[in-house]
Amino acid sequence: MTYTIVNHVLDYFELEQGGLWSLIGAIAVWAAPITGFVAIVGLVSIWLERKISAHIQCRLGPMEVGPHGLLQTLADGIKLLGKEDLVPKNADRALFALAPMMVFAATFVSFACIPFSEKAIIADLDIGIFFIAAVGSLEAIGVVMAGWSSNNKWSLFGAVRAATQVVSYEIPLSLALLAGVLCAGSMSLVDISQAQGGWIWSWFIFRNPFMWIMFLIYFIASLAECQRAPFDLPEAESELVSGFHTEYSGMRFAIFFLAEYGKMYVVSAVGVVLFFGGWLSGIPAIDGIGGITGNLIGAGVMITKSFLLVCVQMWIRWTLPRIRLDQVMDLCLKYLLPISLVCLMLIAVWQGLMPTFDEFGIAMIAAMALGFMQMRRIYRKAIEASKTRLSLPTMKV
Amino acid sequence: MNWEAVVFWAMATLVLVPAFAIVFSRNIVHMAFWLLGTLMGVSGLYLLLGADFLGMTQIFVYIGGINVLLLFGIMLTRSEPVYVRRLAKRPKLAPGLIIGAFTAFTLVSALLGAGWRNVPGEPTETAGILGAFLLSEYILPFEIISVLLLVVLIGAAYIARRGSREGAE
Amino acid sequence: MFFLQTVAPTGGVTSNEVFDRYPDLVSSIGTDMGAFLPELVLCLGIVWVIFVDLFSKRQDSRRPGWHALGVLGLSLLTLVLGGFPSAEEAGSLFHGMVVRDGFAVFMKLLLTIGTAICVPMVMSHKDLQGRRMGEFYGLLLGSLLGMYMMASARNLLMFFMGIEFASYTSYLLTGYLKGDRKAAEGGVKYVIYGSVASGIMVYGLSILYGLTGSLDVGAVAQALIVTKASPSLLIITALLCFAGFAYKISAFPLHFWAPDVYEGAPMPFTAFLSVVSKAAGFAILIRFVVAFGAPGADGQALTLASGKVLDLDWPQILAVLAMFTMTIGNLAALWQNNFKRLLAYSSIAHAGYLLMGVAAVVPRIGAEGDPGWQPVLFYLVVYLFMNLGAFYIAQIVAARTGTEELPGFAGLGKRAPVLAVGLFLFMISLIGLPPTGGFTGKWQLLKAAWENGLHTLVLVAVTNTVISVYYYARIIKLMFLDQGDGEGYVLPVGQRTAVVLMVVPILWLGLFMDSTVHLIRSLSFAVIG
Repeated sequence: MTYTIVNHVLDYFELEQGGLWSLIGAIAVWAAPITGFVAIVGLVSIWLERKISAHIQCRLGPMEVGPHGLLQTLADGIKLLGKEDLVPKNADRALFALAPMMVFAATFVSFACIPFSEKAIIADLDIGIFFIAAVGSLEAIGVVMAGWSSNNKWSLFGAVRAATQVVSYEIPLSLALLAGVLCAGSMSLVDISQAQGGWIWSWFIFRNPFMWIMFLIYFIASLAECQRAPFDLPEAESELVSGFHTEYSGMRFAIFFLAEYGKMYVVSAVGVVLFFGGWLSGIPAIDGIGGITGNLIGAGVMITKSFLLVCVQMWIRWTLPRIRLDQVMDLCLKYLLPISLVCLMLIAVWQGLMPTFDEFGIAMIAAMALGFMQMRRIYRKAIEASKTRLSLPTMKV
Repeated sequence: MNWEAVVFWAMATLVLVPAFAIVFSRNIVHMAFWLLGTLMGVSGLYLLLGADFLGMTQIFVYIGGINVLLLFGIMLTRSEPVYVRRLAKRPKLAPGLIIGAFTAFTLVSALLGAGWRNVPGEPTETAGILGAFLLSEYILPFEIISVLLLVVLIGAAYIARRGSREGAE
Repeated sequence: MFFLQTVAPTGGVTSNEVFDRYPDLVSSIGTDMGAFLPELVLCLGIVWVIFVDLFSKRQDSRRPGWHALGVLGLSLLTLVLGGFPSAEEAGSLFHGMVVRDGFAVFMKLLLTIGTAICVPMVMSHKDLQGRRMGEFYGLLLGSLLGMYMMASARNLLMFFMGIEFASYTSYLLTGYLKGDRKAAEGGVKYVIYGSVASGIMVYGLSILYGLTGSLDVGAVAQALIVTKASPSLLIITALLCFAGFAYKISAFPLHFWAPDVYEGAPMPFTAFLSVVSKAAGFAILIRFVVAFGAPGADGQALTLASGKVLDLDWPQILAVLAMFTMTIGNLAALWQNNFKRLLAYSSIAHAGYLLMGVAAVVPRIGAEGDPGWQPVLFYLVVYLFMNLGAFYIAQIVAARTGTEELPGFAGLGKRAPVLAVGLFLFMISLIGLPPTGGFTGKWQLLKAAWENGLHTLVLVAVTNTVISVYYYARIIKLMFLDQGDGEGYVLPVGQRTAVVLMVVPILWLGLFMDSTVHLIRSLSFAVIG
């Protein structure tokens, strides 16, 4: 059993016989479905974002094109395609053109290692998670490229902010990834998912008392990696016009947009694989089906779970205000980094000393449910207390 | 030409062309972006050799970390494009070329006649075996590296700390 | 077309098989730790010193210094208690990463004593008062830890890591006075030259790995004999590797960083660089030369350092480098007016004399009788005391006069006779005149080189010694014959004791050298491979 990239290239494309042309052909054949999938993810996510934001703000959002505005994004995409391709006069043309490609490629390549189900994965690499983290870090350089080549101070500010933020948050993010790797004993995303087989309580988030902290850290760091609110300083509209992509228009802008939503899906999918059992539904009977049906069900489960996390990201974006740059760095270096280091150590100790048993997972679920209810009660009380001062509007559809 | 040769030459070009571009480019930001190509090419060569972990580390550390910080440093210090000043009016190409050619010739001729060992075997796992070696045979370097990182981190924190003239006050 | 095959670096081993090779992994690490105590003390000491600094007031900048001295003392104690391993006890630790032998222990003792002399210099240095000094001592201890690695490495990885460890900390310490322009200049120059040198060295080391498939020095040396690689490649590789060592000892092709760095760094650290860092560099160079210097069993096969190209062999290459190093150092020193720069060039010259001893090591590898490196180690001991002493006195004088330029020494004989006499003796020793250790040390180096047929080198070295008399004697003349302005002053007891403590070993080594020579001769050297 071999997992290296070279071997994947050999196995999939039977290159030993083929040679150069079959390499090119194979790349085309395999790149097409991912491109399609990324495009669909982008379309759906943008529609979701519009709908969720609208509903949070007591609006309806797009309703005209298609049922509940489903085709609105498509219409917008066609509009963007038809727009004039503007390049600022003093921009660095080559880099200006290259930047969106870099950003998109970083997201696009990550999809190669994301499992949709046991068999539905393009390359089950030995170092899968590391591959995604490494390739994802290429995005930062694309952003810097875009910001610099635009020759616009707002763009440059956005780029510099993005670089700071992404480089810093990569550390807690990687540590959180390591937590999952530690529990599974492998970096392959398929192996990690399969290590969570069984009932729902064998998912890694219930594995030990620290994993859910790690998940929170992962989630916060991934928000920062995607430059999503409350960490959207690189494109803060109120200060930087639109940050590093201020000067971009038409299709190039659309590619940035697509990359952003693609990246959101990627981090969600990785989060699902690491903490929520990947394509496993948490019910052994369903997970054991196998064959094409099983894989299809798995893919459905995986995509649903991932989109749920994407929705949470959007929910947070439209709920929380943007934080300042110094707060961003403080949060990362003073809180997330030490907490994640301590958690990683504790997880390692737990993994070494404690046997894995189902009862603990059940207890974890119970404890988390109790904690959640307690928080809800506290929250309710706070709302009650504030209602005398504040009258919240109710939504009418 | 088999596929390995195609990929090898593609990667070699990716390493060398940007390397030359770095030398001949005058805009320091362009140099930093050209470096991206060289680093990617090296990573590609590692991947071709079946060293996935190494290749990805190359991308993660050098492109995602060092190259970004390099650009970051350049952009934070200057807002206009920075150009490298030529020391002499006419660059003295001849001595440089002669020395470079001589060094290249010596190294290449020596390396060609070296009789390299071919390590037999197929790539099995790339990360696991590295980890196993780090925790058994190479445990001392592994631990010493962590001490080194700690010490250097302390030094970096000292250099970066504000109030450089704290002693004078 | 030359094209590399797709191969795994590990040759198809799985991770479990790796662990199977070491059935008693945990227990062996435990036993190795016992012999690794001095290093462990330093590791903890780095953190401890910084913590002490955290919990003390800024004005109290000497406090971490006392703790650093304590750490060094503890490390010294563990070294002494461990004793010098005999030839039977000598071996390697941590699966052949470092060796444990008399040579390593002796070098570590030397390095620790050198650092321990530098620490009080730091504590009394004018510019380093009232600062947060925890980092300084932490980095200093870190540097020493790296040099421990250099003294005992037997794996190419440890070679590289030891040098890098010592270098990174040195870069930071050179630029420690952040507001100072010269310090910044020195720090930046050191970083740039240092990274180029270690880049060249790691290129050489990687060729070695590529040729032999091993990082263990013994295995590499064995494999080089078997594979019969081309001599030209071997000599190039040896030179590439030499770049790293040459930069550490500031030898000829890579010496040019020294004056600027020495001038920019704070005086105590300049002293550290010129002595301790150089001693560590020579330790690793001797290890390298001894491991790779011996010709193959049949006398025909070549190893790294005995390869012949154009009728040049390794001792001759080293001899040429030594000649250049000492000549350049001495000639450049003639025109210096800054004491630190003068001692920088003087230390380059001394690197040349010591290289002469290393060149004489090669023909004696594997031979019966004296180990070839005995004169080098002896001279390092002498050099430690005389150079540190010179720097110590210079620091006291510079604090009084406010300048590090040579005219500051004018009339010192009247103002502070103890200092002047001390510096006089150190200068005499640096020249190499009796009755000081400098004489006996240099005599042994010259003798070893002469006996091993490096006659030209000996002549050059003697000529150089004559040249060096000029600039050392200039300082002596300034001190005793010239009139200086400034009040005379009485030295504090501590400083007077310190000067005497440094002078005593110099005289002792000059008059009664036998016991030290005997000790060095009896040291075990783990023959690698």
